[in-house]
Amino acid sequence: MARDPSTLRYAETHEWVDVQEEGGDKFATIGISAFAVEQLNDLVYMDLPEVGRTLEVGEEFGEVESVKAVSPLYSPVAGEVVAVHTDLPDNLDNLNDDAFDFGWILKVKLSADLPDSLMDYAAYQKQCSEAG
Amino acid sequence: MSEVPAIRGRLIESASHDAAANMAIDEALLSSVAAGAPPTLRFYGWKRPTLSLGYFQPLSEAMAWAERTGVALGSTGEVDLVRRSTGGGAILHHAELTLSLTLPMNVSDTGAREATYRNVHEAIASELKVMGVDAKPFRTLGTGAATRMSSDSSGASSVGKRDEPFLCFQRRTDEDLIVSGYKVLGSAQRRTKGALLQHGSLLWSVSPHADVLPGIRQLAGRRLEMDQLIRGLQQRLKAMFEIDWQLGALESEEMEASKQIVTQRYGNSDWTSKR
Repeated sequence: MARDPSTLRYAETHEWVDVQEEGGDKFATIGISAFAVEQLNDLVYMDLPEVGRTLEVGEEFGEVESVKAVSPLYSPVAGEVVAVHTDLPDNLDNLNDDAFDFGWILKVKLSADLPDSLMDYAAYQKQCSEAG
Repeated sequence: MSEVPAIRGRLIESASHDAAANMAIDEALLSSVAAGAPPTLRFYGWKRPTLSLGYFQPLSEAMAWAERTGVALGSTGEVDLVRRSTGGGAILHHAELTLSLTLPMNVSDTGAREATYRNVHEAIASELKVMGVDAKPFRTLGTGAATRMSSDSSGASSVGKRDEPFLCFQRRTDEDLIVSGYKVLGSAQRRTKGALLQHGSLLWSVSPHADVLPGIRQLAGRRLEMDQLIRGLQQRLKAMFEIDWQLGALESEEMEASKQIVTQRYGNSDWTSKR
């Protein structure tokens, strides 16, 4: 089932978070928003983290290159990386059409509650519109 | 143009450093500007000819280039090797003017700051014009322009992601400055939370290690004064960014940080060969 962007949470740095509960644990699937993909304009490279790595909130988990600019990706949650989308770096063009489904980057088993700083869709839309 | 610059910036004119130190100093500046240090404009040279790989370029492409061109690459060879933190293609830094511009940036900004490429390149083109060199952005030349996509001196073409040539100066992007069909200026960026680093390389004179790439010295057909260009640029970038570039130096903390960064990254062969 396609992910609905209006139900997701968002970081100031444009990562989206989709939380699901499985077997009593909480897991966050993370990607970058359609707005960020559009702003990045012509992604050519992406680095992914290793499965098993532990991430803190705000820690760099990967990097992307677009228009000769390298930009870090930041973890919006704390936890352990349990899956990464290994097909993504070779198919970055597909991100343009599908940032929220094919565009998932990693899945993290949460070790703490979601940070309060994550925005809901309306607040994130407001940030994007102010960025122009 | 007539408004008083609101922000005080720092201008650093470095002596030539080795490749790892040059890249580490720029990374230390990026961290320090993100943490609140003033915007910093740095001009520098290179102690030895150096091939710098774009951040994502595989080392194997540098090795293939060295084999084709017969260049001995590495710390004991004739051309040093370093991996940059910025994107884009490989650059042979030899007789060039290198600059780094580090600016504070909003945390929520994404990706490349294309206006920064455009502004810096416009300032350099204007200053080159004063010196009698006609440089134009690639985007203004149209598809039929005589842009010489030269292969390297062996005649072989090296391709990377998206079939681009290995060397930056054999690639073309919109804001690259072109003189008589040859690219003479390219830039690339690195973002961090709160700041942007932009590297720029102005090919001053041809290098014997990449002799298919003429510099502005050859294209102008006469000697040009680098100091004149730097002084002019300082004024143009002051008006353009509304930043008053005051001559300064690296802080001791930045120098110390850069030494650690050399060990961890740019002077560390494991890091250089990580791709």
